[in-house]
Amino acid sequence: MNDPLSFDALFDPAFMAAVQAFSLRIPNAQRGGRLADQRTSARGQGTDFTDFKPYVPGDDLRLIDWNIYRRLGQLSVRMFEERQDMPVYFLVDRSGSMFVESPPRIHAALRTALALAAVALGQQDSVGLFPFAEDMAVQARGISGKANVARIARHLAEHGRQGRTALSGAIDRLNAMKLRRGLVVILSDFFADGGLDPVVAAMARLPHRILMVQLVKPHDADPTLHPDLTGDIAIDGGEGDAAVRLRVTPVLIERYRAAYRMFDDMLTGFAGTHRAGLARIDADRPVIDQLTTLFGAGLPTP
Amino acid sequence: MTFALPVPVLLAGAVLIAGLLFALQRLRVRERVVALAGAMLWRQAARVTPPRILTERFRRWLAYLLALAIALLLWIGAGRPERVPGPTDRHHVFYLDAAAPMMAGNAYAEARRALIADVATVPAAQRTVYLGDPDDATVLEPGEPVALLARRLRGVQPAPRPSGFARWTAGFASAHAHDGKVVLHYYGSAAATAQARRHLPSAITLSPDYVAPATPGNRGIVALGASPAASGAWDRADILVAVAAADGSTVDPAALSLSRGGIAIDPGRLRAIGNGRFVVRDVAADGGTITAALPGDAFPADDRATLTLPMRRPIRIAIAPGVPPAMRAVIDADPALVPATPDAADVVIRRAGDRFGNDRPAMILTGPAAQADTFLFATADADERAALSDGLDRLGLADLDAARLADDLRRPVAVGFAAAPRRTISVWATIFAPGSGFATTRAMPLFVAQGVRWLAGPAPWVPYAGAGRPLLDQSELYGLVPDPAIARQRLGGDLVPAGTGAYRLGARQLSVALLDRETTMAAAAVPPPLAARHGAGGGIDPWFAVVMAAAALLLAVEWILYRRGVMP
Repeated sequence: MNDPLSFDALFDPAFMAAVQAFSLRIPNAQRGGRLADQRTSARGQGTDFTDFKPYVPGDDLRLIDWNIYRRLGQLSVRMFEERQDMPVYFLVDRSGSMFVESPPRIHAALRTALALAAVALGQQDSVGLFPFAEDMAVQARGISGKANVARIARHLAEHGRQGRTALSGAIDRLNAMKLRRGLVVILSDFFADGGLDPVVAAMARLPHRILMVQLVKPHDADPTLHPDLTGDIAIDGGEGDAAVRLRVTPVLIERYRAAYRMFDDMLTGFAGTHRAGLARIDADRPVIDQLTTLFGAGLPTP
Repeated sequence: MTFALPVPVLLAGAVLIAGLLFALQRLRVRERVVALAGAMLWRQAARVTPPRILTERFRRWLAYLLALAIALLLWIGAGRPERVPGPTDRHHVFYLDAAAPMMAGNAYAEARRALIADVATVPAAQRTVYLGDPDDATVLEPGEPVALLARRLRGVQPAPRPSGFARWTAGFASAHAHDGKVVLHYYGSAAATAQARRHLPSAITLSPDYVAPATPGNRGIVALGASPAASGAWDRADILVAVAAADGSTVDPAALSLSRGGIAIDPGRLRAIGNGRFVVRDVAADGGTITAALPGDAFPADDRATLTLPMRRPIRIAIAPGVPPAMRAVIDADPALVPATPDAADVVIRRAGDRFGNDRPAMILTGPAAQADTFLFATADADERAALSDGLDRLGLADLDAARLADDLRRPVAVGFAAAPRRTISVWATIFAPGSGFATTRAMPLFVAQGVRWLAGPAPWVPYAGAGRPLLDQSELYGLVPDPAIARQRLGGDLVPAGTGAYRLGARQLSVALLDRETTMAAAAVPPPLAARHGAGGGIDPWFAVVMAAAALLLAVEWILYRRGVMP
């Protein structure tokens, strides 16, 4: 139950059908039909006319506008907007905290990643997979085409439990790769070692657009919803640290709630100040339904 | 306050409980492991709330004291605290009769149930329970739990013997006349209740809390005994049997049956002599049994009685040559004596120095030169010698004109006693001379006949044996001395058979029957209405109730604190 989803579970026909429907629905809902509308300043031979330029030898003769020549006696060629593919970089958290609990948050994270990757591939965008825990790995780059959804699923199914959550380090490493600007989708619970401050700082340094997909559970915000959080307990975060020994009291619960509010406010604040997207996915509920609701309401992207 | 448990046990248990609870408090708590992704936030929250050591420890101590108070209260409750009875508190004495009247139907079982239920309502320190058995045993002392009572009464059944409650009450009243107020709860028969009331002082209240139901139409055998045959036959006995009906009616003789050794006695031999009495004459006194039966009612304890007949057989006597004719004449005329050879004789008469049955009890004819006493009685048992000295008049010596005899003999007449391996009577032969002052008196044949009987040592004569009544030995009447075996067994007191059936008496076995007119007549007595119960009210001691209520209250408090997360 705490293992990553197998390929068969991830590439489940029912789920894939839902992903397919989702991926078809989203372009109609989104302005520009893309995960993030990415217009480039590059001029090329796209389909959207933008301007004329004088003919120089070598230009495509088919682009010469003869009307202008008749009127002005000047050879000019039409220019079109360059519609480049938008790379979508998926940073998937596979640290231990994503694998504890039942069901583990990694299941929702992998399904979310596959659904979003399917949308991106459907829109002819390229997809890169960068799973991380203590280190970040480059699992796949520049995968494009709808036919590669299964390939993405196969890669995602390989995400086994790693060690601790070094999210800020993964972000910095991704930044250091000087990748083409695109969209970075961070799928994590964001329970990182050292707190959120270094994570926020690292995200702020990214030149890419950011979409934070936070995998949550109801008891994250309200511990009283967890039946085992009473009395004397030892909390195991799944990342090799010593268990946190506690006696759950009303005072402690209030302290936790305050800490969680600070944590949550920091994420929300970053999303607001840096025009990043923040989507909260309940790991205990079906992913597609939540994504559909989110995208239907407008993907929380800047 | 007193406790059912000994105080040292109570204190030791309290210390043990306190120690166990303290150890539990100190033991490392085994936490439940909970898998949570957000462990870092919990760690952060825990760091913000460092353990407040003083408060935490103080809360632990409060929790410990609360748990300890609850545990100690429950332990004290288990010790069954009870209020110490004050001087104005009544003591309750319970008496369960286990005699013949309780044998009717389910009387005893019902009485036992009622007793146990009533005893449970009285504080342990204020009750004592007695069982109406032959020993009037104490089956529950003050302070003992009622569970012991049920255990001690297990298997106890009433016995066919008269109720001893009235007798016991008399002794109890005299022993406890100044003990304060006593309520005597009786579970038995109406007749015993009425008898007991006569012995009670004002400080003792008699409460018949169970009375056996009446047995209407009861009739029973109230006497069965044997006496030497009026015909004079030595080896015969006359049997007396008496019957009575509780309603005073005459019992039809045809309903009464007698049997001897299992063989029915001809009813024609049964002669009525009035007042429900019947006699059978000249029954062979051979140590067998006579059984009388009068069945046909619901109270069987008095419907049957068995009597062991005395043993009376002719005395075999051997007479040596040279015995004075006067003695021979007495021997020949006595139907209880039959001639025999010295080897087969029970008793011999010989002259001193004769070698004639020397290993037998003997009447020895001697002279003044050989012994100083005119009459010398010898036996091995000093008690027998003492009993014989008390019964010399039955030897006819009381009628002896000793002065005249002394004149005739020109010697003083004296009686002496000596120790010897076997019984002997040594007597001057000259007193039997014709014309002597002794031979021609009526004392002489009496002396010879009774002397021979004493020498033979006949079996004891126990005319009847009634349960719960002292055994009667009439051997002295029909012999010379009481039966030595009975005397030894009695040890100066009475032999009282506890119940009916066989009763061992030395080498002999007697049959004991109920034979109690009061029991037979009272069996049909209609019991009076039961008086209001005199229980102490409420089976729960106030101290016990207070302790348990306090424990329950503290348990509720602990539960509330636990639910609120305040209890560690």
